[in-house]
Amino acid sequence: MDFPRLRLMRRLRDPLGWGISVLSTVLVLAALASIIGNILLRGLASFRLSVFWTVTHGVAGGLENAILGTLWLALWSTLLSAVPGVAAGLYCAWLAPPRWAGAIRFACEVLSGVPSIVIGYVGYTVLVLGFGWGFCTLAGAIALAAIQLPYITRATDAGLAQLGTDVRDGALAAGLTPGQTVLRVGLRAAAPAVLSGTLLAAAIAVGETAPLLFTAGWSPLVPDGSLLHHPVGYLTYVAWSYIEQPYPAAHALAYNAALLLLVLVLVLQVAARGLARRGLR
Amino acid sequence: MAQAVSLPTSTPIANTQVRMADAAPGAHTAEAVLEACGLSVHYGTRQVLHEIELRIPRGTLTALIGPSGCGKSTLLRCFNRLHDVNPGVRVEGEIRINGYPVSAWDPVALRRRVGMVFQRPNPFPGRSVFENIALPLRVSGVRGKRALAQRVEQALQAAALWDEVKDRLHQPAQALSGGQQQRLCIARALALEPQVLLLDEPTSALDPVSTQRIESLLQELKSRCTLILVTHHLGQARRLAEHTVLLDAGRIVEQGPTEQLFEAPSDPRTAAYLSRAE
Ligand SMILES: Nc1ncnc2c1ncn2[C@@H]1O[C@H](COP(=O)(O)OP(=O)(O)OP(=O)(O)O)[C@@H](O)[C@H]1O
Ligand SMILES: [Mg+2]
Repeated sequence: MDFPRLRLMRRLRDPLGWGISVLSTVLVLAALASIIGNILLRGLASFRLSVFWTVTHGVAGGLENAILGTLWLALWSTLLSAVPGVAAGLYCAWLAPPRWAGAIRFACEVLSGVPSIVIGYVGYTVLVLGFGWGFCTLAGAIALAAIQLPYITRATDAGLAQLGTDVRDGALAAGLTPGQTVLRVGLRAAAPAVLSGTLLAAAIAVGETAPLLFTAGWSPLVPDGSLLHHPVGYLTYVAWSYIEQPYPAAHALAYNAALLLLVLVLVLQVAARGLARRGLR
Repeated sequence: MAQAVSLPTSTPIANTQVRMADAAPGAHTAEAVLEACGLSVHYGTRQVLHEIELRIPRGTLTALIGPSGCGKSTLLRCFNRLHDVNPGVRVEGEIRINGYPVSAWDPVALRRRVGMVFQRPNPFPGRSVFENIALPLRVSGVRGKRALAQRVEQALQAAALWDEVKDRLHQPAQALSGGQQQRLCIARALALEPQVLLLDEPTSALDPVSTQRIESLLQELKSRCTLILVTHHLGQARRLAEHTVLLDAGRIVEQGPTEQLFEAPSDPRTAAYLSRAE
């Protein structure tokens, strides 16, 4: 036990640790600010309201097809992931034997660790080629759902864990079946957490590019409501590929798409936070 | 009773329910409403209850006392089969209610007959005062708006909470004070008109005034059902209980009429516990 030395190390390490963390915070914030600032400046500079009602034409035109496609994909991916995600979370938190709960949590961790491009590639080989669906909404939505699923499961699981098993036991002791306990007491009480997790997952899905390139393809047409055999457009494609084109009009469109994405994600995040805060009260 | 016990354990559940309903609530007879025979409980490989033998007479309040961790909550949860949800728990031996083994029951039907109140108030979050009581009633088959409203009011009256909440029935239950929430939980259990009410340290999280309220409530409830009260508060046991059971390290040390157990304990360990706890 060499106390003076320990004290010396602590005295040196403290400012060092502080310095590093302050520096990294500043770096992260600066990077974020420059990205957002850049998108805002360039996106707003070239923004025209007509992007809402014109489709993309070659390297120019509007974003109607991409905006509707993004919403259409996000709607289906959220529908596809929310039901099994919430069910798995409910089961995991209140009903599953510890071993099963552990297995589900582990599977979620693994799934959320899989790079999204791999999910896209699996979707391509299985759905697009294997099932012969071609590039289509459903293949894209399933790929996105695989990304959203673990978030939703975890949010539900955590929402119920916050209530504690006291509430579960109270419901069981009051003569509710396990199913009623989970749905009518657990889900009801955890609804804000579940909804906020679902919206956050949707915000993540809306910002994905890689899995969609392989599954949804790209289309300059407004989605026609079909799920199979018709490729679909989305904002991230425009932001990602038009920036590489050597034309100013293409750049403008890419920045417009990025701006709209930013706004969409922000709205979803704010809604999710609002719900989460309401749940705490 | 004897006839009931001699029936095979495969008595159809419907039949059992009729018998359970037959037993008049509050009939003051000395017969045991609740018996445990050779009851042992293991959490995984660890045994926490050893060969418990217990008889609890109808229409009385029995206090369950003992040092922390001795297995009081574990024993209580055997009576309404709350251990069923936890696959790591093994329950051996038999518990009979009105002579019928609880293992022959559908656990959900059993829990509607054997209510439970927990240490910390646990109203259903995000639901109103009214809904907290109406939900268990509804899922147990009570239909109709008026019937529900009437049963909810009766339960709140019985739990001495009606006057305080009658104007805020549709506000969130979690906006009530701790003591009110606990009485709401008692009302929730009473609404199903249970024959047995299990109470696991119901006042340990409450202030003296709320505690006093709940104690007088329990005193009145003896006419409606059989009560089993876990408490760390020996004064509470003496004030309320006809019978007291002392548990230590998963074994019953002594059980008997409360006065006798406190004044003239027959086991030296009882005397030691009482002097240490007081
Ligand atoms: N779910 C569980 N898994 C494993 N062990 C448990 C579990 N619940 C309780 N135990 C153990 O069983 C023993 C009895 O616990 P129990 O909760 O029945 O005690 P208690 O008498 O109610 O205590 P207290 O007065 O503190 O509430 C304790 O040693 C506890 O550690
Ligand atoms: Mg306990």
